[in-house]
Amino acid sequence: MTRRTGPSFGRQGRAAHVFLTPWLLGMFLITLAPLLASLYLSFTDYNLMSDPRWIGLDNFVRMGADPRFWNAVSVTFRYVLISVPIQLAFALLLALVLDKGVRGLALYRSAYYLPSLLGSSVAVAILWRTVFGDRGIVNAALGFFGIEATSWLQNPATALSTLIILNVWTFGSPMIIFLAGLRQIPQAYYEAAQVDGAGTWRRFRHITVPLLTPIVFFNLVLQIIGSFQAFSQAHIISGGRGGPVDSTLFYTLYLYQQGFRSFNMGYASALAWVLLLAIAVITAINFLVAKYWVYYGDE
Amino acid sequence: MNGPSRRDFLRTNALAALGLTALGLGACSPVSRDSGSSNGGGGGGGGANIRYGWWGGSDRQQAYNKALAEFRKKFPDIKVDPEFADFDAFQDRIATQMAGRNAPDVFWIAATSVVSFYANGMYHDLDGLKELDLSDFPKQDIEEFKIDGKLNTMPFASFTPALRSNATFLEEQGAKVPDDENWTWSDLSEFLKDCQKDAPKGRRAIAYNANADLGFESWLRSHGQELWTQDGNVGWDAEACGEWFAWWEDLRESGAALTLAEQEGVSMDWGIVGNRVMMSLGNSNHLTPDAPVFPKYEFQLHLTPKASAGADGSHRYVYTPRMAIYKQSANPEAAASLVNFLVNDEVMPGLIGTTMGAPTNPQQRKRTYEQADANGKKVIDAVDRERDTKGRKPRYEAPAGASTWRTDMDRTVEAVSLKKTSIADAAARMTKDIQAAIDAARK
Repeated sequence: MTRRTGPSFGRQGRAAHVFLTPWLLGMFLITLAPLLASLYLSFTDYNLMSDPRWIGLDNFVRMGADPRFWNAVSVTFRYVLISVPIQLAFALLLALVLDKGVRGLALYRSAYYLPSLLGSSVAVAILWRTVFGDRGIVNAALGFFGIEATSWLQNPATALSTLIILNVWTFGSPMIIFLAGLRQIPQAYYEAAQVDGAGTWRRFRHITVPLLTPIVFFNLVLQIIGSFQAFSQAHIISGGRGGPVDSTLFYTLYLYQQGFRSFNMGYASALAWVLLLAIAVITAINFLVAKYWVYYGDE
Repeated sequence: MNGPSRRDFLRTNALAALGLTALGLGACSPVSRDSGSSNGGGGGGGGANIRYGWWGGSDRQQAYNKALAEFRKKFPDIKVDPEFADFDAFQDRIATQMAGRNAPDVFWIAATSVVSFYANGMYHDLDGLKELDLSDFPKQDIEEFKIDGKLNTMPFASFTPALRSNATFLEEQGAKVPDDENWTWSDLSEFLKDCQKDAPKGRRAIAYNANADLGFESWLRSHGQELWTQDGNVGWDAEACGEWFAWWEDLRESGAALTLAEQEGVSMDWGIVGNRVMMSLGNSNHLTPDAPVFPKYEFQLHLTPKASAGADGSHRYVYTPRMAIYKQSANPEAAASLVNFLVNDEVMPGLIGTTMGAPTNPQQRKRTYEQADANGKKVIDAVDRERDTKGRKPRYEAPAGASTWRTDMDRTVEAVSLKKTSIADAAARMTKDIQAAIDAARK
């Protein structure tokens, strides 16, 4: 490949830079500058109103002895570890069903995708309170079978589960990606396997699964990152407190409480950077492990 | 030339997602600070543009929007941009605005932020602003409004802790609330338990209001303690705090109080519990928006009890919400005109009513009473009864660092009610944590 040079490319290059300028400005002013500011603030004691005071690593050291920090870490990991696999399995199952060419596919696809658009909205979070509340639909249904009502959202043992169900319910986005992946697998592979006597399960196990692993990996990385950042559902449903008794205190919710309720913006910034680093490490591990189970057709 | 492989494509997308994480976290950082003041065109002369920030429900939003419209008629040269939000969202926003040195010219202050904002120099001195006429206010009241001897915030209304009874329910059961001038917390507890004995299925004697901040303060004061001391510390001990939790737990365990599950959380949602309880403990002014939710019922307000039968009423108190002019307002004169309008103008009582309780201006309180409906009159009466109590002990504002004490209280009440901890441990931890936050803010 030869590098293009000369006056013509120079003009094009300048034009490209002009067109890129708004994006670059946005990137530096809206993203990078606040990021760097929050990095600086993470080493300070900053209450939003007086000037930040440099305290070195104190904010990071403080996390080690902060029981609510560890509780938030625990809640968030449980949420990610349970909700992401269930959501992906559910999304894959429905994608497989829809891939069979059912009548009205477009309608089903849209209907299943709808919760993904609404899932993190205030309206659905409020709806969730109505569904799982003391006088909610779930209890009404259970009452029909003589099971005593309980408030699923006000019980520390079940509150997180309702948020996991809410997250699983928003399976539409990974489902669409799975569906697109399934459509890319050449039909000839299935036909050849069928001729060789492979049944449905063997075709799924030895053709669909290997060829779909890049899509599974892609969805997995996206959903893990998204779930670590889950905020609005817990904020709305628990009234911003992460209750009852911190059972839905997601990491981001705790970060928000520290920054905007306790005015500990320095500590909140440190929490944000720890989250960013944690997600980066987990994503890197995902990429390292991927070479053992993700099959790329170009290999 | 080979195009990008699927691996490259997927990797690129995954890394882009990671980048978006960073972007999302970046949004958590505070807005960049500039040296400008609260925005607004022009100076105090002609064509001023100011902002007014307040909180509440939709009824209060509409009421104050009407008031601002009236203000614009009287001051056509002053444009006022309303900045309204519910309580929690308002606190988030004002904190961010303070950080950006871009707060509204006139803003309401949450009880937990009065001293904190003062300590950080956020208030404009009101003494030198000739637009603000305080001639209707008694001198003693103005002295009580001052912080550190300076008039830098304007208390504009007053309300009290109050027990609210559903007179319709109580009459149905043939129950009569004891004389609230002299009743004790024990009397109240016994009364509630008696009411519960005859209550129809699904109805409870009282909502579980253990996290009611004004109610808790009333309990402390009646037991010889304070919420905050004059020197800015926690004013109670763990024992008194524990007794408060125990009082509520006794009611809940006896079936007289709602459970947290029944009332959908530690903070009572009136829309859910209003037709299920005979009494509740809260702020007297909340009767104004709450009563119309259940128009068939008649409600009454009662004084909070004393600790013992022979005690005087020195524990009674009136809480006065405040507003302030932002220190860096570019138009403090215009802002003062707005504050003056809100606390003095004759049209205000008809527009605002008793949504924030009784006005602090005695003339306005009189006008408001004349125009109020039956429930509005009860709200003002509740304040007057407390104000008329002789020998009331002074009360002090929450110190800096105490901004989250109510959240701590919520968590503690949940833990106690759900039996996640003993009452003694919960009270000790809450007391220690709140004092620790105050100490940390002093450093």
